[in-house]
Amino acid sequence: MNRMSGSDRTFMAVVYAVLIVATLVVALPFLYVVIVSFATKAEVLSRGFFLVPKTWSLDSYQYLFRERNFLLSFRNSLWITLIGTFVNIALTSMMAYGLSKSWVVGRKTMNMLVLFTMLFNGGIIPTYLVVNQFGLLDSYWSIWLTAAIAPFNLIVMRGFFQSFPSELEEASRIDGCGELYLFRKIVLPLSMPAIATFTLFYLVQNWNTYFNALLYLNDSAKWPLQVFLRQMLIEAADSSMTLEIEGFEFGPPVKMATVVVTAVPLLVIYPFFQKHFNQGMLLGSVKG
Amino acid sequence: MPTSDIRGRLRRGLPLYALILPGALFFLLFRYLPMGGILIAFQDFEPFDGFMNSSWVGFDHFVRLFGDADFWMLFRNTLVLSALNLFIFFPAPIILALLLNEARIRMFRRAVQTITYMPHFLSWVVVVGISVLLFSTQEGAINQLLASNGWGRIELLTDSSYFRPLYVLMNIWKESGWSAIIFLAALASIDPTLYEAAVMDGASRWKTMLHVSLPALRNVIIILFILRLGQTMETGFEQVLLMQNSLNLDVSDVFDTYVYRNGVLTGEYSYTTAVGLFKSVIGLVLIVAANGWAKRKGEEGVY
Amino acid sequence: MKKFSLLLCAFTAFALVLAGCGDKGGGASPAASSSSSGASQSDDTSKKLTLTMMVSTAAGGGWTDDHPMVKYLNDKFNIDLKFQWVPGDSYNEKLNVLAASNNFPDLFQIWDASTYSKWMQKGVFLDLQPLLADYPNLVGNVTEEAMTMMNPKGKVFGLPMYAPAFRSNLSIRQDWLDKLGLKTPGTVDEFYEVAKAFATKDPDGNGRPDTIGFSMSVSNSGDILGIDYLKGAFGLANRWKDDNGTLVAMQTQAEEWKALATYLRQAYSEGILDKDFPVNKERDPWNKLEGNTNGIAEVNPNEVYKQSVPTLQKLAPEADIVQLDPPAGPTGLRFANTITSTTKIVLNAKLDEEKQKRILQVIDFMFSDEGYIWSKNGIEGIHYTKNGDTYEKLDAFDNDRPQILSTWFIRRFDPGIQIRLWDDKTYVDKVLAWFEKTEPYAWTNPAAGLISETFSKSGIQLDQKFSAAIVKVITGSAPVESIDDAVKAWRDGGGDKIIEETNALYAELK
Repeated sequence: MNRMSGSDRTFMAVVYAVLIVATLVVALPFLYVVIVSFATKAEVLSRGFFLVPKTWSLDSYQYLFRERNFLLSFRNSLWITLIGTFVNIALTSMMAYGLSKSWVVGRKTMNMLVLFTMLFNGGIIPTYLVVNQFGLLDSYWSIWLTAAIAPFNLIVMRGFFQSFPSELEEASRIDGCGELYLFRKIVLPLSMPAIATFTLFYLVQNWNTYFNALLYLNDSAKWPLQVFLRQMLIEAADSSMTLEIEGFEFGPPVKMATVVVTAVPLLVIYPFFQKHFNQGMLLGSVKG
Repeated sequence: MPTSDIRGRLRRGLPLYALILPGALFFLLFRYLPMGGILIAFQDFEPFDGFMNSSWVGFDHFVRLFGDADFWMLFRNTLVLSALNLFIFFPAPIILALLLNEARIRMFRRAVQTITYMPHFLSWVVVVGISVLLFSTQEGAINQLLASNGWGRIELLTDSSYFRPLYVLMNIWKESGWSAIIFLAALASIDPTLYEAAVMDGASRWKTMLHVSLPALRNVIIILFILRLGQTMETGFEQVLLMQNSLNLDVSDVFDTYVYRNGVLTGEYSYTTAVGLFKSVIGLVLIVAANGWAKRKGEEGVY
Repeated sequence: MKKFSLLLCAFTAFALVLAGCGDKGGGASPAASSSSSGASQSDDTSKKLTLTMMVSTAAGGGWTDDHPMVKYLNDKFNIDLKFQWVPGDSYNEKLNVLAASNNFPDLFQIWDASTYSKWMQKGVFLDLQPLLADYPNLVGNVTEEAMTMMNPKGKVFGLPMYAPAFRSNLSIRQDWLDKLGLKTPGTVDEFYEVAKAFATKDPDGNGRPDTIGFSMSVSNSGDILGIDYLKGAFGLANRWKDDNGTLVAMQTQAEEWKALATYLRQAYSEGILDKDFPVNKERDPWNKLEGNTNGIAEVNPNEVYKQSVPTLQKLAPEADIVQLDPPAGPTGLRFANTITSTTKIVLNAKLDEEKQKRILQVIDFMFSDEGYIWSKNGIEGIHYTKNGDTYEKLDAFDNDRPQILSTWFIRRFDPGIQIRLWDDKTYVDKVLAWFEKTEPYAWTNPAAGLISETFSKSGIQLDQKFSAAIVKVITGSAPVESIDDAVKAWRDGGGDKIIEETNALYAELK
């Protein structure tokens, strides 16, 4: 790209300008969240919106990392996320692929049934009763199984598989490959952008598990990080609950610290997925 | 070519059915088995009595809902917010993805991607809290700036006319980066030879974006659009509840917040379920209509 | 067609599943002892019992299984205490799924008055009345009124959860008064003048108009919060007022509301009342006090000296927060923010006799002198040390948080619930003085805990509309006369029914 035409240059200038503005608009408030976690309660309460604290403080983070429950729940979250995401992506991609073949009998009905669940839900109580009946209470399987497939992810992934170039499939069928081989060795590897996307989605979903955990897990030793952290953000719902825990001031700094702590692992992971969102995964696979 | 004979297709489909089976079991056991809970909408459900022992009230809850003096206001507010989401929020991640796709400097692109997707991880409590710090009339940073320069203060958070714009803008701020990921993935799957061909033809970057990148997103956009239509009655409960205050109720009260006060806080499961059922039915009608239209245009639908 | 028959199968299957859990006789507690020990007076604690207890949590969470406080109870009472901790903002949801699966813990709280009354009638809770005589510590440290509240005559289905009545106590920046040469306000007019000075005369001395006189907030359920002391002064009821045996609802007191709204409207327009009040959260007035921008706010006396003053003094070293008596209204009325807790601590009705007694023993212990000290301070040697007559807190106290049962679950009727052994006497006296001084200004709600059916259905929605109308008057977007319309709307929308039903319930109490 050595010589760009005038209109191309203008175009690129606009592109970069818009992206830079978007980034700043997004980054500044987020930066505030991070800064507050390193500030003191007094300053945050008195200053409104600011970006450079007069007094830096690591108190909030020290508090979090000192809590026994914190490290325990962090570990639990890792486990839930690892197994859960694997279950999610396996089930979803298999079913999505199966449903992407237009000649499969019963496909339309199954698609409708899946869609239906996106709109209609039995509710918390019936689902809880089913989980209870299967004896899954207090086990991580209650979380992994009740959220095994997100219909949205399934439908969109199916869409990705549908737009997979049919020449490739034809080519491999001519070579005598079976359906499963086709799926595992050819379609999957070349669908990495889609797989990466939904693995990321499920990863985040699992990492953020909150409500299901507190509903199905009675033993607080099994709780994931989010449950532990959200306790920090509770304003007293009932007038008879007082929140004072001596020795530590609760307030915006520690609340923001919990936000940062939950978000950081996800931000760290993102670059590993990012490389799949770049061009050229189908390069050279089909000639002519 | 696949045989059109049913038996042949069934046989060929066996390995595919095997792939579908585990997922299908999930739907059956954890989605359809509890689905009967919808019937709670026709009962006067008490958690302790359970399904079997709670009394039946037929369509009473729906009568109550439709007869509520606020019904049409709630409906209008819900639809307006959804329309804003559908027509203003929806294109934002697409545009973001397209622009990012054009940016050639790798480091820049990665940085922008990562930064723009960060707000997705903030809860609405935090985001609305920040908006109060920025926009509140008295102590908000923006209004303090205006006041110190001699200009008048703007009541961004309490004046009804700012509610809807703020709603959709905050949503764009928070979710565009995250929602763009799907489009980025789709763009990544475009055959690079198409771009090479466009260059050969002497097309400008702008034209390439319009005629190569954008069309490639067509399928994804249509699917997502149809799915979003199904969510028409969903307006993001947490965001609306947090942004709602005494002065903007006439535009900010939606079904979700209404049912929060009239069903959730008061422990009336049946009424809550009934309102939810109503919302779902509307969504279903819209999806069926949209899907039908899409299919007639020759597109892949959602079923 | 296929879809429909599939759904039909689902419904049938679902019904069968529920039929399976419909068994109410099964019970949640593990195998009961074959024969009760016989002795009704004292349980000999020779048998180890497993007890489950559901406690709501806030910041910091609950105790781990190996926590010294848990061990202490396990050893002392020969029990295996299993806690089910539940984050406070999802407590009711969890309670409801447990109800649906009929799987209640042995001991837990009920927060919602209408749930309490519904489930009480269905026999979910154990009637404690016949047992209480054996537990003098418990009975002796709970007021008669609270014990009988929401319970039918002669029965006690739940123990009251104490909340200090004057937990939100009015306070003022004494240093600002001094700096501006003002005296403590006694009437609402004097209050107005003082608040005006706070807002306009730059008491924080930084040359910027960044201070306010007082603030308030509006909740999602339509409650106007933070100005109870003004509501009372202007003659409004704390939700309900007993007028010769009949209850009068505050939403019908048009004249009083108009007077109050006019007062607040004036304050708002002059910048004395926080202009951001419509978007404030409940704690914001207090936060702004701590943030050196607000001069008058309600604070918790148990926390003001340990939290608010230190925070504030980082910003303003000479800051001093002192208690302010509620100002007298036009007719001389003075009322303070008064809380009546409707939370109940209940025992599962299906418990066998041994467990009932054991649980009550544990609770009784927590109400005894020794146990009360234990529940507030922890274990001597681990959480604090005693040297002769002085006590010293140890770091383990902050890490272990041994006091959470007393802050979050159950405690004596004593305003000093956050007073620790190592707090020095002057501090203790200062804090308790706040509660004592407010006693004469109690603003009682005679109908606390009475939930009418119409209120259950649409009461909150009606309240929200009503308070929205008041807020509009305060901010100047609506004329004061619109309050008459708001009252009418409340009455017509269901308010009259609520008055009728609540009065009926009230009559039953007598």
